[in-house]
Amino acid sequence: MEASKSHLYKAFARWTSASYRHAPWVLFLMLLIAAACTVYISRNLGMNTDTTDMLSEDLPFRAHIKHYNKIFPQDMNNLLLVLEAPTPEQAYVTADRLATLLKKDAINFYDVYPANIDPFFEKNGLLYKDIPELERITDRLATAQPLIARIAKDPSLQNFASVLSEAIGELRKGRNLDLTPVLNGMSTTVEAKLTDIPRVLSWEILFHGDPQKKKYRELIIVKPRLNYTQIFPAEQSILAIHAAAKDAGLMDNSPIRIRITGEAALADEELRSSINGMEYAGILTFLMVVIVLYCAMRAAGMVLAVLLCLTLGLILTATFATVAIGHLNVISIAFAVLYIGLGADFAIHFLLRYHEILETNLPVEKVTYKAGGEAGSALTACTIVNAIGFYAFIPTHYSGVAELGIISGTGMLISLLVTLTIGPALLRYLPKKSIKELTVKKSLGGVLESLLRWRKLTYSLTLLALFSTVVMLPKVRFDYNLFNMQDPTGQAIQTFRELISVVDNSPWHAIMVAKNRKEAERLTQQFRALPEVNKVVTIIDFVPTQQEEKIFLIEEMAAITGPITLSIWPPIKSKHTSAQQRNALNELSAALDQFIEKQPDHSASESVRTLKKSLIQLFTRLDTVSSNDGNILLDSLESDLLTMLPIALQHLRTSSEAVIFNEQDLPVSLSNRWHSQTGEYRIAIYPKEDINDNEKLRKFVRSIQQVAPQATGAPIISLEAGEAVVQAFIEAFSLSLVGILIALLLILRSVKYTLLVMIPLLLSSAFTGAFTVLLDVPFNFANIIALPLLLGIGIDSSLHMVHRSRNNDLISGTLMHSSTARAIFYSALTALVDFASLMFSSHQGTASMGILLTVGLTFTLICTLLILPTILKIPTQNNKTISHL
Amino acid sequence: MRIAFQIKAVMHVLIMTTVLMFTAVSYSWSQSLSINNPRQIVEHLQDTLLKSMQEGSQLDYQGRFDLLAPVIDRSHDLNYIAHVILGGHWIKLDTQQQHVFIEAFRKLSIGTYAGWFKSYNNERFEFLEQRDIPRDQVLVRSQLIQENGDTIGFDYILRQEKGAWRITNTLANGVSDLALKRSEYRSILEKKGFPSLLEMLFEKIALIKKK
Repeated sequence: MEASKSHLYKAFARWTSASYRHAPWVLFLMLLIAAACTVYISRNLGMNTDTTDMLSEDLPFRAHIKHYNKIFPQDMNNLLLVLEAPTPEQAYVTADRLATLLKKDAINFYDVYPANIDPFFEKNGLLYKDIPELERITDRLATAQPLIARIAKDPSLQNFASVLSEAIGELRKGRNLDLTPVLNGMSTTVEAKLTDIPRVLSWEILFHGDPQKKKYRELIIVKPRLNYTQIFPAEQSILAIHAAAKDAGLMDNSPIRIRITGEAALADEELRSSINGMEYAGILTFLMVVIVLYCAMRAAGMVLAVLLCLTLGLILTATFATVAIGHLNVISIAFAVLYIGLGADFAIHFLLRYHEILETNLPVEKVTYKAGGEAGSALTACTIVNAIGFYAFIPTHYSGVAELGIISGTGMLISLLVTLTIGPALLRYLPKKSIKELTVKKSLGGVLESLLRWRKLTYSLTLLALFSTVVMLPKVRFDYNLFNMQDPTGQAIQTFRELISVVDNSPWHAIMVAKNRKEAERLTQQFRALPEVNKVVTIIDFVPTQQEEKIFLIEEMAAITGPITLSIWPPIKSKHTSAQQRNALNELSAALDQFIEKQPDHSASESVRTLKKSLIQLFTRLDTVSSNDGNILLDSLESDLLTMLPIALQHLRTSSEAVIFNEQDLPVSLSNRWHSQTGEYRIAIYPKEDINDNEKLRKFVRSIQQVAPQATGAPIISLEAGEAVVQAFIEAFSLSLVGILIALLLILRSVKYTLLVMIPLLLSSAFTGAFTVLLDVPFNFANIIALPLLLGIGIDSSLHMVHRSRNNDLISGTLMHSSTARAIFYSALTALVDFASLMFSSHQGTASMGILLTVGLTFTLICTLLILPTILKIPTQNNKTISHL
Repeated sequence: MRIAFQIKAVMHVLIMTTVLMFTAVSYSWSQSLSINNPRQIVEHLQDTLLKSMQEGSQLDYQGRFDLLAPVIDRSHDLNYIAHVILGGHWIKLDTQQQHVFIEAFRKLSIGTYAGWFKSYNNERFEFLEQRDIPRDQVLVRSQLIQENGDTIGFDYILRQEKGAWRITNTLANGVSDLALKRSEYRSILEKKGFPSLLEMLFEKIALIKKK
């Protein structure tokens, strides 16, 4: 037996012994190297957070978006500020104020574009309404005019109430007035005042006769100066926005709310959530790993040894990464996770083997020699196979994964060297006693062994599982939606989802660049014909049709409303005592009563009744509080009811000045976004359905690409990138598998054993895939990285098992009780707790990776420790054969 | 003898000149009245209204009507007002209906004035200001001062068509007449139809006549 040991065995055996002998030097040297490398890494290792950069530039969709961003740079890396207020006037004024403040800050922002807020639209806004709507508005204004003319003269609560009383009297006498909007408006405002959520009355909405919505939105699109030297590139800009918001009056308790979303904010938020996840997971993982290792080794010293090997290996691998590539990206940073999972494997195998041999009571040097040789040759096989598996990722289009492949593949080699260099050196300083508690050993081995007895059951269960798996495999899917990977409670992602779901003007739309106007018109027509498309917008749409007819209507409106804002301007609010105010309200209440009595079935009766109820509530409150509080309440109510009136009137006056215009008259900030200096036209194509759903996204994107293959925009990029990634992985995996097969054939020199190694791997992959369907955890950009790791560990485990059983060098009688089996178990368990902690991350992508890895590892364990031995027909302890020496 | 003849000739010339001048002045005065002076249009209207009040006792309704009719026809753009009141419905009427409507509306408008301004109590109109407002319109603000000092604000909006300024809207104490009429007439037109609208107009005219 001894004579047939290979060169590899001898080489490793000698190396290990040498390391053991010169332990202090080895350790010292390693310490120096570690220190030097750490310094080097901290100075030179960068981080490339640009996720789009990770896919090959040759991919067509990348060329399209590059072209687009060059011509229309407004969409790239922007921030969307969403302002919401209870009235449109407040939203408008606040957005205007905020935009003005931000425009002054050239340090943090390239461009600030408040989408609807421009004197041009204030003036010409009415031209964008259609003719029936303009008529409706004119009617409303005609009805409201007499009322408003009198209220506007003296915007006090007392006057308001008395004018309203009179109007109700007129209504009761049969005059045709539409008071419903005003009555409802007053009720809502009064009732809101009495709760803790006061609501200012929007006169602009009253003028238009619409019911007042809960909130009105204004958007500001901001292009921030991103600072890529920081971890969170947009952080500074976002802080600047919050500071400006405070200056614009958006305090914490203001009814107006600002939320920030957009590409740059989403990226920052994602990074934040994934780092948060990591910190928590990191500590937990560390603890769990230590616990598991302790269970495996039963000696603190050994645990320490494993950890030291891991740490050194990580440092060296990171150094290699710095030298070879220079930076990490969001994918390749996962090498650390991979390394811990696989590196621990190496150390555990070696150390447990060492102790197994130690029990045979050979002299220490011989133990070291033997352990080194055996572990070395086993681990080499694993290293080569794993390395090939990882290096196979290099030729893909997905550079993120390619870099991961380079780093991890080399990491394997480093791990082998480190384990077999430091390991023996450390062993010199560890207690030499063998692992006590044979009971523990026995129990694990015993459990495993007993499971072996149910061979037939195992076979049948396996076949059953395989069958159901094959059925489920077609349902495996990839989730292209990047948003699903983020922490769903994040403000940016929630806001963005809200904006997308309001299908009109969703920020997630497709974009096409047309070379000239003719092409723009042609494409617009074609896009409009598609069933998945809701609307198509080009600069042409910003010039409304039928302007002449509309101008005539606006003239009518101006004639009808007359100079409301000019009768006395600024209005003089008369001062009234609370008693006077209360009197006026009482009169109003009386008028309401009279109305209900005389005209119970009038169309306005319901609003009258509602207002009456609100007034009763108001009176009750006034009666229960002190007179001072009552004064405050009434004054505050007056302010809620009437503050927006002057602004609404001003806006009405401005909008009556509309003039006919054409494309050249549009504000430059708008036209530049739709018609470039080079003469190209931007076409925005909005989806009909909520394309948060993957199937709908795909349909939308594909139908657009049929019309225009060069179309771009976030939905298209998302889909194309996803498909590129999937493609890249499929290529990589195929290459990987082929490479591994060849490597196995060369190492094992036997087709039978190669197959035996591959079967558990294939089985566990299939089961894992099927389980993702069961758990409804689709593959996505994040967890697809888990697959190489599962590949690595899967190969490792089955290779160890096959290698060990083949060499038949059984010391404790059966394979199941061997150190190999234990090593496989504990190393997989270590990896399992390593990844299980990821499941609790708030970053959905990381969490799904955790789930996938946990499930995958569990299946690997089952397949390697249960199914494989069954197939190997390993004799159990009860059926000891003569082969036992 | 010769001197007398010369004096006669000179007198003749003087008289002719004076008459011509007067004619010219009054002609140019009436021209300027219709071309570029919203204020004058309003004041002329108001003068006529006062006259109607002063002679109210002597004149009956029809008398006042005839007195006011030409002034109102000239100073108000009744066609435009009718169009604005009905809005989009105007085009839906055929020419004959439009004609009938304008006639009825005219009678009602003039009749309303005739009905209000029928007795005099030392009221007077006072011009406040004239200013330009959006959409090429002009606003003339004035007030009616009553004997006891109370005032009623009368604001007029004028619009220029073919060089002539005419009133399109009157606001009494800020309340737009056009707004009131639009609300009322359109509502009847939409709910009950054109014939009912005409009926309403005739009823109102009849009511005024009776007072």
